[in-house]
Parts: sequence; C-alpha cells; structure tokens
Amino acid sequence: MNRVAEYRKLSGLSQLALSKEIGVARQTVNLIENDKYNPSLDLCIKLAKALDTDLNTLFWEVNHHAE
Amino acid sequence: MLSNLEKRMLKPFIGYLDERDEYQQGEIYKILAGACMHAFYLTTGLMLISLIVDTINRTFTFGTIALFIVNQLVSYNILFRLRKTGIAETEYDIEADYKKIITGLRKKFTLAGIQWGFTMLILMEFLLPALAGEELEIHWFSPLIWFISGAAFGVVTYFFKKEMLKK
Repeated sequence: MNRVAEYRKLSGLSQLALSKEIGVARQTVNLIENDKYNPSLDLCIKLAKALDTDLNTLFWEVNHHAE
Repeated sequence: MLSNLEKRMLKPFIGYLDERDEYQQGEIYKILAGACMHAFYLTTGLMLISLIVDTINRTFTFGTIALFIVNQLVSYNILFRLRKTGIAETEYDIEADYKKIITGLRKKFTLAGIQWGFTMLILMEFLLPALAGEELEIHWFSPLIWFISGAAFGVVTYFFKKEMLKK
C-alpha cells in the first residue's frame, strides 16, 4: 500500500485539490491511493513534488515488522 | 502513438470535453481496442453470411466486397503498425528456448495449414456449390489444389510468425 493518502492528508489537501495540482482527474488520485492504478514515473514525480516528499517515501514498500 | 488525424478524431468519437489524464487515456485505449476486435469479428461473420446469401442468390453484392475490403484494410493497418513498432516481437537469449518455440510453431502452423485447406475444400467444393443449387462435381485435382493452398497458407503464416521471434 502506498502512502499517497497519508501524505496528502498531512499536506492538508483534498483529493480534488491534489488532482488539480498535478493535472489529473480526482478519480485517478483515488485509484492511485487505493493501489488500483500504477501511475507512470512522470506522474509519481509530480505527486512527490506536490506532496513535498520523495518517491521512496511515497511508493517504496517498507516491512514495518523489520524496523 | 496516435496520428494527428486520430488524435483529432478521438475527442468527438469518445465525447469528452477537456483533456484526459494518463489513466483515463489508458482506459479509453483499452475500450477502443476491445471494440475494434469485436467489430472485426462481427464484420468477418457478416461477410461470411453475406457471401452465403450471395451464393444462394447467385450474385456478388457490394456489401460482401465492402466488408471484405474493410476487414483487409483493418488487418493490414494493424499488422503494419505492429511490425513498425516491434511490439509483437519476442526476443530469446537462450538458443534452446528459441529452438523449442520454433518446433512448436512448425507443429502449430502445419495443423493450421491442414485445417485451412480442409475447411476451404469443404466450403468451396461442397458447401457453396450446394447452396447455389449446383450439381456437385468433385474432380481429382480439387483436393490437391486445396492441399497445396493449405500448405502455402501454413508456410506463409509460419514465416510471418517466425519473423516476430528474435535471437
């Protein structure tokens, strides 16, 4: 599960506001947050920039039990 | 990639107002690809039905010819663009894997050639003359012609498919 929703909420953005910022439909943001669509690298970078973070933080799967 | 004409056609064809994002574009292409395949098989079926009706009426109508031409144009368009982009190609780095696939292809297209020749023999020598109300005259060379045609079909399709496999 990616952390787009978590970082979007931390940034105080709604799905609609984030979608407008990165130039996609709100439904697309919703699908990305729910792991139902794998965005292109270009879109991943736009998301990371909009949420003021990096790709690893948003998309890299971390085994929390190992931490 | 869509040509400029296709890009201009896409918007009114689908019926959206502003630009679509990458997910929406991907879904549009999937829907259009599915619809294209359905339309192709539907027109192929209709062409066969039209040919049978023409045979019964001992005529050759514009509809049959038009459906045949449309199907041919769609097929060549798809084949040309697939070859141009190399999307249908498969690369093998292990010689044994390549040889195994080639052996499988030979068997597959030998069967395809036999099946095609047999189907054409039944269709052209028995079914269509019977539908046209003609007397069935089977000459000794008819099976030979369709056997050779079937072999040619199998060989051509085999080499066409083989070209898509790269070592």
